[in-house]
Amino acid sequence: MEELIRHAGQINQQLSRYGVKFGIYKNGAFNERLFPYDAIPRIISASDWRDLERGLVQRVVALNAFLGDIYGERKSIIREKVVPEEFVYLTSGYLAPCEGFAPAKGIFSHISGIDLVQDRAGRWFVLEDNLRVPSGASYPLIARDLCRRCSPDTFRRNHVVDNRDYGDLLKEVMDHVNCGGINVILTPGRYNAAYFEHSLLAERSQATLAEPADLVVEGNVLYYRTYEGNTRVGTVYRRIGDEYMDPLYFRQDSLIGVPNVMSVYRAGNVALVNAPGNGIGDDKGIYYFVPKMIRHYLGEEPILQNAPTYLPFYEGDRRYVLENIDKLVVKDVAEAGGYGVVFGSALSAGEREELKATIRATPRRFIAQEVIDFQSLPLMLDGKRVERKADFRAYVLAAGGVKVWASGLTRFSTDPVSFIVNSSQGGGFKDTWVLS
Amino acid sequence: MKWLFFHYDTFLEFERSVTEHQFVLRCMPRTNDRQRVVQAEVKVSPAVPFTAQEDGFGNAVQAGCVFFEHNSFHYSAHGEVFVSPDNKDRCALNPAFAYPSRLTAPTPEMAAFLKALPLEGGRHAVAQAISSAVHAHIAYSPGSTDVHTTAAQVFAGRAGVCQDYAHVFVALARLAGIPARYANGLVLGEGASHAWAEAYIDDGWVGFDPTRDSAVGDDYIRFSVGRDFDDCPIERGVFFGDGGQRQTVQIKVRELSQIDPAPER
Repeated sequence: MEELIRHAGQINQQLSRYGVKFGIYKNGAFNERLFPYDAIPRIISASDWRDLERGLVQRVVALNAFLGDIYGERKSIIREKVVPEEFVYLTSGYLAPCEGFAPAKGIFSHISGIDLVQDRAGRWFVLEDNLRVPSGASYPLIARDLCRRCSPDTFRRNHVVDNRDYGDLLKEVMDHVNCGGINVILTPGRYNAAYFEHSLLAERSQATLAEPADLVVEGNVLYYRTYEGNTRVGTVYRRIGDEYMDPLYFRQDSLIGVPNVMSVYRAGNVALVNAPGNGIGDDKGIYYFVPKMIRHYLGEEPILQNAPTYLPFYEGDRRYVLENIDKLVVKDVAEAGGYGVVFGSALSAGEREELKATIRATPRRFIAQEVIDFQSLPLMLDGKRVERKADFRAYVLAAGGVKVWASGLTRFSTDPVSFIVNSSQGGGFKDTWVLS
Repeated sequence: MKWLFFHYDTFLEFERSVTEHQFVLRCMPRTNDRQRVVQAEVKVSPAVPFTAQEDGFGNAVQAGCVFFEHNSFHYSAHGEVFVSPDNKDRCALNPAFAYPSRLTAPTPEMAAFLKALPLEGGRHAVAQAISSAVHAHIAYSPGSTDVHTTAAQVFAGRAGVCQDYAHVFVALARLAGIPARYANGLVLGEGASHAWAEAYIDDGWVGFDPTRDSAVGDDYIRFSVGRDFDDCPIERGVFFGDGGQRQTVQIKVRELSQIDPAPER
């Protein structure tokens, strides 16, 4: 460990050379900055990991069932009134062009990023599901590589599960749903904040890295263009948002989409990873219902708990939220990336009344959660060992079976009082060791 | 019951030639409870291959691409349809039609307008009253709006064309708790494509035409439906090229012969 800390500066230097950066929007301006690495890893014991793994697999299986149910004919969870239909159809994630279509092998969320925190007693709580384009897997992947190079002994002495299999897992995911042709990772381009990740993942999964202009639809088949001719594409792991995928079906002003790719997709001639329309599954309002989905579709009790959450939409919950707003965290369901998150305790009396009035007027727009006193992890800041709040993103990959990558992204806040560890809000990352 | 022949033609002329022109068309009626398509065909020129499939709401979609340089694009649909006077398309309700979409989001003013209407009786009566109120509220005024105009803008501006009447109807009906959707197609005796609306009543969709304040009878051929125009435009295309374009539409709908409804047995 000491050796890793000694090498931290060197590793951060390497990371900046590789271009491991994160782009953030702040006050309307786009800034790219380095995503600082801290050498002290988060360590998860083998038995803790086994429980976590079971819970994550169960959750992702249920979420996939939900997506298939809603976009299919049955919509059983709505008809049986387990989920109020407005929580599905009022989210911006609901996409009409995805109605009535089941993607290859019935998988919607191939790569899910599940964000969790651990309370002081060590219990895991799910904070958020990311079923659209969860990013960040490249950070622990590259950090581990560099650590291994700086200090090979560390991994000989500690029984850490090798995480170099992410590329293989990704390839398995793409191969499993492939509709005939090559695997492609679609990046918006080299100016995208996550371009480094796109290129690394393409290399590790033996996929072709493509920009939108490299792809073209002809005869209801998707092709990758080269000077030698066109190559058929069977799977696109697309790293661009749903709304930008196809200007003929979604946003007409999108310049980073592939016109008519949705026609090819609906004809079953190409797999899109993840499926468009998944936004109804990772909406902050829908989050409340995930434990209910697990019971509804699997007939099982949820292994992993949600953070205690209230839905002002329900009268009882609304009363509780309005009375206890000073100790709750209130989230606007339409916002993402740590935006629209308000801690009741941080508000002035006037602001608190204002928020309460907004909740009364538009209760569906909000969820409220108990503030979990989650674990701090040690890290080195300016040469001193300090403790900061940290969360964890687990990557769950669905191919023939559903697997959890034995690694993940641990993010921490550099601000000593902040509970928000989203990388859009500043902060850094650590490697995550799963012990064998 | 009417036996209708239709011919729908659109000519797009480009100021400067364009390439890699990807298109999606929805100009082919499909068989349902109120219309039976006996024969229909879509043609495009330049003649390129295209595929026929279904979109999320069950509309017929033709998708294709003209890769080479061209100065004009012509697509047409023609065929014969039997249309029933029974103004109802029975099918299960997709709950998506109960909620606002981008072009049909309501405003407080629209809610107040709805509240002030004397709405009595069942869903059919309420939908009929909304249709008449929309017809009275908006002045028919070609050129006052475009395909991006929202129901809220039309409601405030009080002028528009059939698409706008349909959007305002859909927004108000949903506000009143009646699932509603946008419909478009052709009408016997009209020289342009037409848009109207449908409301879900009991076990199926019933047509309302707020532009003409009339019932949707056996003279309406339906091409497509959606939450709003954006879900089901007749044509959408993207291409490489930087000039302007001009569109000409020609429509013929003709009655082939008078047919009596099937005698009761």
